[in-house]
Parts: sequence; structure tokens; C-alpha cells
Amino acid sequence: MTRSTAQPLIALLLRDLKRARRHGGQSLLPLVFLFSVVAMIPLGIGPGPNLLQAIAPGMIWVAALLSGLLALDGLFKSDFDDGTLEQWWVGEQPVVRLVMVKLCSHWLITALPVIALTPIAAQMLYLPNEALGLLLLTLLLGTPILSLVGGLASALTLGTRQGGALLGLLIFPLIVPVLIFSTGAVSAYLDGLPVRPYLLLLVALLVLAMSLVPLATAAALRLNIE
Amino acid sequence: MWTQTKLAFHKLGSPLTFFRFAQALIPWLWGLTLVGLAVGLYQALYLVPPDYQQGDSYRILYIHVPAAWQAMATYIVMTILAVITLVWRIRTAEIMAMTAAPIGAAFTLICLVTGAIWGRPMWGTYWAWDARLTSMLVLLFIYLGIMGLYAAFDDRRQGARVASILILVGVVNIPIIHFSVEWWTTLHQGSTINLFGPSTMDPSMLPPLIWMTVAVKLMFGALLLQRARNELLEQDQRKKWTLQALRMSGHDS
Amino acid sequence: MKPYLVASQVSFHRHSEAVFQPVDLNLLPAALCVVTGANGSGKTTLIRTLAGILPVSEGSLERNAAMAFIGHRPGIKDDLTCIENLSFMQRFYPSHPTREALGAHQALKQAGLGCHVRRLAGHLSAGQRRRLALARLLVSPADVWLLDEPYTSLDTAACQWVDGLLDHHLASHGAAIVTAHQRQPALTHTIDRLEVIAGARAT
Repeated sequence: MTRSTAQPLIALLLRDLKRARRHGGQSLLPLVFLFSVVAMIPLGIGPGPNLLQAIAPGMIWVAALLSGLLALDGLFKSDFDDGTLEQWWVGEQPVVRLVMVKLCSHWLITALPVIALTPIAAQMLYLPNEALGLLLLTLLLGTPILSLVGGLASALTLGTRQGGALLGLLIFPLIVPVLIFSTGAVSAYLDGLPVRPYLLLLVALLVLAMSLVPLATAAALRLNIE
Repeated sequence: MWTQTKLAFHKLGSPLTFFRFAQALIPWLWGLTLVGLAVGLYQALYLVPPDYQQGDSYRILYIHVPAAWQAMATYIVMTILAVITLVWRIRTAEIMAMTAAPIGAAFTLICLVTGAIWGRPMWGTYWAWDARLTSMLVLLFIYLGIMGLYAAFDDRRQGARVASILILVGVVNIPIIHFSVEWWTTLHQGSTINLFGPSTMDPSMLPPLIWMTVAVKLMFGALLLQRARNELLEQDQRKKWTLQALRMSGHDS
Repeated sequence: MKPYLVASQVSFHRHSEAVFQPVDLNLLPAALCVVTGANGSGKTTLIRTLAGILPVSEGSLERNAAMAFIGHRPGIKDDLTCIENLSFMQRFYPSHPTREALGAHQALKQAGLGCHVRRLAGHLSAGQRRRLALARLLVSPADVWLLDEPYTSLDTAACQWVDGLLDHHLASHGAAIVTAHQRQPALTHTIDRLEVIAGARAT
């Protein structure tokens, strides 16, 4: 990619980040969500460290998944409504690349803050420190898949009126494997079992998602523009 | 050869040809379905001896298993139709793919419900987080997602195309989901119950299963053609061919 | 001279019916084509098809030049200021190397938005938004301009400004396709007209 083809992509990324910063809430909302879940679980099931420790990876993962959903509704919607999106097909730039940039900004805005504050959430649920690194690694590998799948769902529902309600239904089945392998890795580690296969499977899922999902997303966007 | 197939394809894709085709086929399919169900159910409920372990309760499997197979087969049919939809934009394929989804969801639901009814006396619980059960549940969600997405569009054709993309994404994902769920249940050994275990089926139990499976396949064909025909008529109720078609089948008005 | 855009029997189908009657168009450099037609005849659909946003259902479309399309919804972000919007457009839309490009500040001044540089685009009036959208043509110049109702909500002075832009563009061997149903471009150059007729719709 030469400098001139990269420039529009960088401009798009910077613009999205600037708008997110201006609104502030976009990154804050997932964090508020993460900590409400982490604070409410012990209140709901009791503060016993053993129980909390056992469910910590799952809870943090579910919270990360749901908080990722929060920002999805507007991922393509704002560009669709104001006409920026249709410009994607006027220029020479491959749409798949633009899709990747949008997903990248979604990940930076919603997933990265959650990952950054996961150590605190993990402490609150008594997750052993040794397991924290692994949990962070699974989040780093898994949340991009969530952004990809979420972007696809967001693109599919773009032309509908009540798209937001559908997002959860569309994403849930597709994200099941990621949830299983990510939390499985941490559980396996806590049980003293090897974690390598889980991580390799996550990497495989990530590669597969990165290569196929943007194509489907671009196709879905195109159909919604018509 | 290729051009001829393509031509035949497009011809079948025209609403009127499809209508004629469906009208001619549906009574036969229903007739054969009823014969298959009658023979299959008679054998399953009266002829086959009770199982030495499970008694009579296993007989529900003659509905459960064909439904499970059809739930998956429906998805394969939908995948083929979705490819046709996206590549050739043939309208009848769009409509068939979309009308197949509720049928697939219904079979998945039948499979889950009969499984739960059977599970209660066998395992003492209606639901177990077994790999097959969980995969079926996820499949149900995929079906519901496709139906929901299609229904959310005001423009039916646009909805059908967009939902077709979801069908294709699902077909890549279903094996992965199945694999991951299997992995997950082996990890959580405690809750695993071996569903179909090592116990092999007695050969005498097989014929009703075959009858029922074939009958369910025929039923699917009949339902699909009928639903697709109705959807076409409804969408095109103000088009010329609809009148022509209705006149042909004796509904003169 | 190689045409920028060649359309032969182009049509776009929605619900398996043509939205407009097939269109033939040969857009040469320094040509302006004004698309006219009744409301609902498919002017916007045609220009969106020519821009590449909608797929060509029948016929063939050959595009040999960099294009800029400005439609009803021109892609302005309400939560960014005028200058931020325009600088983004400058970097996002490719600008043709042989054409002279203005800086974002200069372009805003030309568009009559010189004193609104740091104002949020959401606070602009409809006419000011349209000027901002059109200012994009100055910062990232393209060979072919596809303008859908560019005169909408513009005052007389701004309409004349648009005419001036078009004149200058044609003089430098640019080409444009403009849909207009009220004000027609008043230029020194000759104008081709293309009448769009709605496709046959079954009732």
C-alpha cells in the first residue's frame, strides 16, 4: 500500500477517534457496563472468593462481549445516514479496507479501554494474578473477533428500522466459539491443564474471521445501500 | 450444457413456471408424506418391540431423529438457495430460501422439545448442556436470526439478499460452533451425559426410522413449495401473472 | 478525446423493474450534461448508478476518470467543525494530481464560510451545509463531478458561485453531470440535456 492509498484510511480512522473523543461517552459506556456487572455479581451471588474466582473469567468475558454490543448500533449507521457510506463505492479504494478501518476504530474505542481496566475488574473477582496475563491475552485475541462479527451484524441490520434489537440475536450464535475457547483457556489454566490448544484455536478463529468477515460485511453494506 | 442449465434455471425462476411446477408437485408430495408417516408411525408405535432398557419411551426418537436431520438438511438447502440468490439474483430462490427458514426453525424446535420430553424419564432432567443439545439450540438462534433479519426489512427482496449473506456466514460457522461446543462439554466432564452412547440400534428398529426420515423429507418439500408459492402470490398479488395463475387453477375472480 | 464516462443502455432495476428507461451517455471532457425529468422519474437513481453507488442492472457503464459525487446527504458530520469536515474530505477523497487543489481554509473562504471555520457543522443552515459540501470540489478536485440537485437551498449569490465553479471546471477540461429540476445552470459553455423517463412500472 502506497502512501497515497493509505492516507484516506488514516484520515477515516483519525476522524472516528476524534468524534469518539468528542462524545466521551462512547468509551466510557463499555467501562461503566463492565464495572456494573463486576460489582453486581458478588452482590447477587455472595462474596465468597472461591465461587467468584471460578466465575471471574466467564463474567469478565460476558461483560466485555455485552459492552462491545453497546457501540455497535452506530458503527455504520451514522455514516449511512449522512451519506458518507455511499461515497465508499464512488472512489477507487477497496471497500473491504474501509470496513477494516471502521472495525479497527470500533475496537480501539470500545474494547481497548475494557482490556486496559480488566486487571482491576479481575482483582475485584479474586482472579489469581498468574491467570490475569492469560485472560488479557484471550481478550486481545478474542475482542477483535467480536468487533468483526459485530460489524457484520451491524452492516446486515443497517437498512432496517429496529436494527438494534436484532444485533444481539445475530451476534450470539456467531460468538459462541470465541467465548468457549477464551474462558476455557483461563479455566484450564486454573485447573493446571495445558492452554496452548485454546490459544491456537483462538488465533485460528481470528485469522478466519479477519479473512472472511470483512468481505461479507462489505457485501452486506452494498446491499443495504441499494 | 452450461447455458442450457442456466436457461432452465431462469425459466424455473419465473414466477408463473414456478407456480405451475409447485401446483403440480404439492399434492403428490403431501400424498407420499401421508403414506410414509402412516407406515412409519404404525411400525414405530406397534410393530417395533420395546427397548430392553428404555421401555416404550424411546419411540419418541422416531420423531426426534428425523426432525434433527431435517433441521440440518434444511440449512444445507437454504445455503444452496442463498448462493443462487446472491449470484444469479433469481427471485424464486430468494423466496424459497426465506420461506425455508421457519420450517427449519420448526424442525429444530421439534427436535429440542422431543429431546426434552425424552430426556426427562431417561436422564431425570428436561435439559442438559450436552454438545448436541447446545448445538441445536444455537442452530435455532441462527434460524431465528435469519427470520428476524428478513422480517426487519420493508423491502422483501433486499431483506432476502441480506439474510442470504447471513445464511452463508452461518454455514461457515455451524461446524465451528459444533466443534467448540463438543470441546466445551468434554472440558466440563461432570455435566456430560452420553446421549446416543455406545448402545447400537437393533436392526429391527431401523425400518420405521427410514420410513419416518423419508416422510419428513417429503413433508419438507411439500411445505417449502407451498409456503414459497403462497409468499409469491402474496408479494405479487397485483401483478398480471398472478391473475393468470389463479385463473388457471380455477380461482376465477 | 477519450470520454470520461460511457454509458450504453444503462438501467437500474428495483423489484425487478427498471426505475428509469435505459440511458445512453457519452461524457467527453469539457462537457456538462444536465439531467432533467419529472419528480420520481429516476434522476437521483440515475446519477447514483453513474457514480457507482448502485449496481448497473442492464447495459454497460465504463468509467475512465476520477469522480466526485455530491448527493442529498453529502457526508457532513454534525459534530465536527467546518474546517474539520473539509480537511477530512481533503484527505479522504482522492484528488487528481494534474488538477490544482485549494487548501481547506481557502476553499471555505471561497464558499462564503470564512467566518464559520470553527463552527460545528450541525449549527449551519441548510444553504451553508450545501456550500460546505460543494467546497469539497475545490479541495479534492476530480475530473467528473456528479452533482445531485446542487442548487437546493442555495441563495442567488451561492447559485452564481456554483455556476462559476462549473464554468471554471469545464474550462479546465473537467466534465460534470448535474440533475436540476428548478434552477438550471447558467453557463457560458454549452450544455447537453438528458431527459430521464421513468421506467415502465406494472400497476
